[in-house]
Amino acid sequence: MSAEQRPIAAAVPSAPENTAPAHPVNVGDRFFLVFAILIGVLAGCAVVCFRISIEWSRRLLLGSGAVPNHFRMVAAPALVSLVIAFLVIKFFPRARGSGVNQTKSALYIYDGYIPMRTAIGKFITSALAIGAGHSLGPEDPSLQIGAGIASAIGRRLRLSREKLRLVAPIGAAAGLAAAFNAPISAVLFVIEEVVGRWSVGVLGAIVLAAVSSVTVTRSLLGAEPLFRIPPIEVTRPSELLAYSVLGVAGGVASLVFAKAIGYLRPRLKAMPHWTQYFQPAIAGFLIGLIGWLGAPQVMGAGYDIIDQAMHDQFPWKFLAILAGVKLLATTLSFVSGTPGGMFAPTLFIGAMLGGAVGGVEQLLFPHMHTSVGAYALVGMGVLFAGFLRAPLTSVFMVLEVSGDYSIILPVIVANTIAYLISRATQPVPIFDLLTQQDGLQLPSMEERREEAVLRVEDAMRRPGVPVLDDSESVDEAINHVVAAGDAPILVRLSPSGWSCTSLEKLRAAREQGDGDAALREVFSLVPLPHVHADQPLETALRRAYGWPLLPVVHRADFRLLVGVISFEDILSKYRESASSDEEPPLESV
Amino acid sequence: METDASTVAAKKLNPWRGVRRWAASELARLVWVAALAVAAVIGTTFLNRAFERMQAATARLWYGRGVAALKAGQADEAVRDLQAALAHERDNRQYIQSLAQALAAAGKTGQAKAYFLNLWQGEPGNGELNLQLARLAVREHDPAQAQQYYHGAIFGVWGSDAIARRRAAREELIAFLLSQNRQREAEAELIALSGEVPGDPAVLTQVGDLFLRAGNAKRALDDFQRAVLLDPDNQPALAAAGRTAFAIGDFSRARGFLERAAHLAPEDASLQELLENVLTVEAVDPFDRRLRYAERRVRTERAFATAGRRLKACAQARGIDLSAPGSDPLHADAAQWKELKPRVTPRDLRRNPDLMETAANLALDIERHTADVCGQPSGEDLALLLIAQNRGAK
Repeated sequence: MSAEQRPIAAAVPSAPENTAPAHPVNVGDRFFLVFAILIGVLAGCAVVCFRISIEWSRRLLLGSGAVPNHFRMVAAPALVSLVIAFLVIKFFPRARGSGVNQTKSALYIYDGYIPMRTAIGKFITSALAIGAGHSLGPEDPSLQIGAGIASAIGRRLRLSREKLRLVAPIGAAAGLAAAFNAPISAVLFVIEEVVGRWSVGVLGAIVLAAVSSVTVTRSLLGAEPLFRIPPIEVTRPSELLAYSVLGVAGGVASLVFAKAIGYLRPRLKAMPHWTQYFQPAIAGFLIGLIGWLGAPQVMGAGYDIIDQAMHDQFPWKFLAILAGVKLLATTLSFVSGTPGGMFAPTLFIGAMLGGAVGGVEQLLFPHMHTSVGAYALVGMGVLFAGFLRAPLTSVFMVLEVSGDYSIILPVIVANTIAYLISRATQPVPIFDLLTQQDGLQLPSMEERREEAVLRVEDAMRRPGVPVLDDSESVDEAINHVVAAGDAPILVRLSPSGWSCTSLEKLRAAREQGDGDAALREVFSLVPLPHVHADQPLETALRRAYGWPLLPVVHRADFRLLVGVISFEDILSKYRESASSDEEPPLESV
Repeated sequence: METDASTVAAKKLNPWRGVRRWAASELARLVWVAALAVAAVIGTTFLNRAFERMQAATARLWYGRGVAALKAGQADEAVRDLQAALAHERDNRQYIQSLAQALAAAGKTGQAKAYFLNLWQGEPGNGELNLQLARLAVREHDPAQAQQYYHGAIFGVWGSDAIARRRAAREELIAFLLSQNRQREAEAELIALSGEVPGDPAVLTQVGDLFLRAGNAKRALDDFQRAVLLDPDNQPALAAAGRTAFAIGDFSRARGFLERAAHLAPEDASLQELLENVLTVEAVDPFDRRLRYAERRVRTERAFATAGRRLKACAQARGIDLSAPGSDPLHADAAQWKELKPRVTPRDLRRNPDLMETAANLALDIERHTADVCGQPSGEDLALLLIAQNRGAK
């Protein structure tokens, strides 16, 4: 051919071909969404059984009355805790704690592996602990049980490692959704606290699992929400000020709660090993004592008490006492290593605190017709935002649980205030603190949510390279770019697209007598991948490998060059960013 | 070829090989998980049903105790028991309603209201809930809310005996409005109620009573009369009609009702007394249009004399010297009586019909004024006073 069809790509390193997946795609992977639904169904069934077990053990250990008798109140949590401690230490060591961090560990450290034994252990020990009156909740264990079931089935189905890693959060969402009877909150929490990022691949599966688990739970246990919400009306904008006070109170309570756990937990863990057999029993005894002294409401998950608080059943002073005492009881239960969750106690403390603040405001400003129920409801979200540091979940949780969107403004205001106070006073979120105390370094979801994403515009250069049109002749092109030296030359393709060439190639074409021919006739112009200035730098990294540079083009006009970026530009930007963003050493926490 | 043959032979020897291979495939595993899920759902459903039965039985036990305690007036204990019932069957509306009632009985109005409102949200047209909320609003001195909930109860849905329950709710509302001195609104409700009541003399009597309390005696008398027409021997209706007719000064109708009522209840002294008063009124009334001229003249003379005695006795009792000058009504009456006295003779009265009218009116004025100063009289004086009041009202 007079004009050799020489691919320009030959002049530069070739782009990598699509690599084959590391693991063969099997049926489990192909039917992943079906699998997610099945996980949801199984997790839903497990959570129903778990709730039945809690109720049954409560009935057996504390009796069926609204308030247990004094002997049972003190003896049951203490004696049952001895059994729980034995089971945990001897058979189910990974069942300690709430279950959220264990699920995160499975995702980030153990490739989605959660032993079935852990799920079974969590089921048994948490049901006993909550039923016996420990101040813990069933949600976090449900999350771990769901994740455990999902992991076990994923292994059985021989899913690829990538999918196996994802099944734990899917099961977690299913378990939490079933426990909360609130699929949106569960999905948000798992995304916010476990997965850390919104990803289309996992979101669909998580949503399906959550929905199927809630469907199972509702069909078995009924569609009623977790709490009966009294009619709520926010009539005056000035009430938002009152809710702000609740936000401040919630922020302070979150700080106290987190500090208490952060201080006591490592100290109790550091005590001689044999004491761990007795720590849950002592905690149980003290909680029983609290009940015996007049606050049996703090025993167990306390949903019925939250319900009563929302229906104005307690005076504000008693609500304030309950908030304080529950905080103490939950701290005791949790730091002693008793398996059980922190969601329900957090909601409890928040509801009592909210009710107390509402009661005080009712007293001080009777003309405002404050609804204590509304304050209790908002209070739940406040503690969720402040203590668990899941702001988005906290808002949606309140809306989903109440089914009333008229409360949205107070919820947002109060939750934001509590969250900001908690962040300012407690730099490390509670879940991160717990993992660090356990000697693990899991990614902080809060940091992940807020980390600045590097974009193409951060690393690109101004378009200083020569730019040719593919209609230009080789001679004209050489005259244009004679000063370019060895630098790559961009060629604008018509009707759109970009390619590149070099002065050396142009000269070679002229020597072969193609000086008058247009560039597009001489060269086989392979289109270059392009990027836009606002795209993540990661996108550019994937596309740039193998090319001398990429054009950064305008989104409205692909022929308009905004800048250029090369593989080296990207790497140097990442290096620069990494040196200014090193993680602090573990000891400094 | 040899290999193929051996494979075919092996397949013939081991027919399960294909099945095993399928069972080992990923699709089979997925089917296995699906089967597991179905089995889990079935198992959990059975478990849950058994547990629900157990919970419901326990809840019933606590509910029974709670209701018994409530009936026995032990409201606090009832609250505890009903809370326990609700803990085992938290969505049972009957339990929630009973708990709310127990809370209301225990004086915890705010708490009871919260539960009732929660139920009401689900059934804003429930008559019983509206009635309970209305009662709580009355307790909380919130008349606007009370009236709103009462109307909710009146127009609401009732499970059984809806007409009677609605009527009772309206009667309660009327009683509430009357207690608030809102007679006009009460009367409006009464008119609506009166249109609803069936031909039940007892109900008509009740409605008449309410009309009477609302200040509409004529309407009350109509209802009492309707009751009497339906049941001529209905003593309460007869008594109420007699009293109402007496109150509005329709003494002849009052006598008719009172005579029958007193006949049916001779032990009722107040009725007898009222009847005597009516009879006295009828015996002394100088303005009775049915009287012949001579009889009227006699009654006028008698009334004039009775009033004069009453005036003197009253002045004496209060230490008033009627001969001394004074500007009060008693002095004016005394002066007028003194002036008329020589002329109130059978002859002058026969000659001058206007004098008869003047003398009778003076007698009534004296009774009215002396009643203001000396209190209610008895006997003929009382009869004259009643006639005076009746004529004044007219």
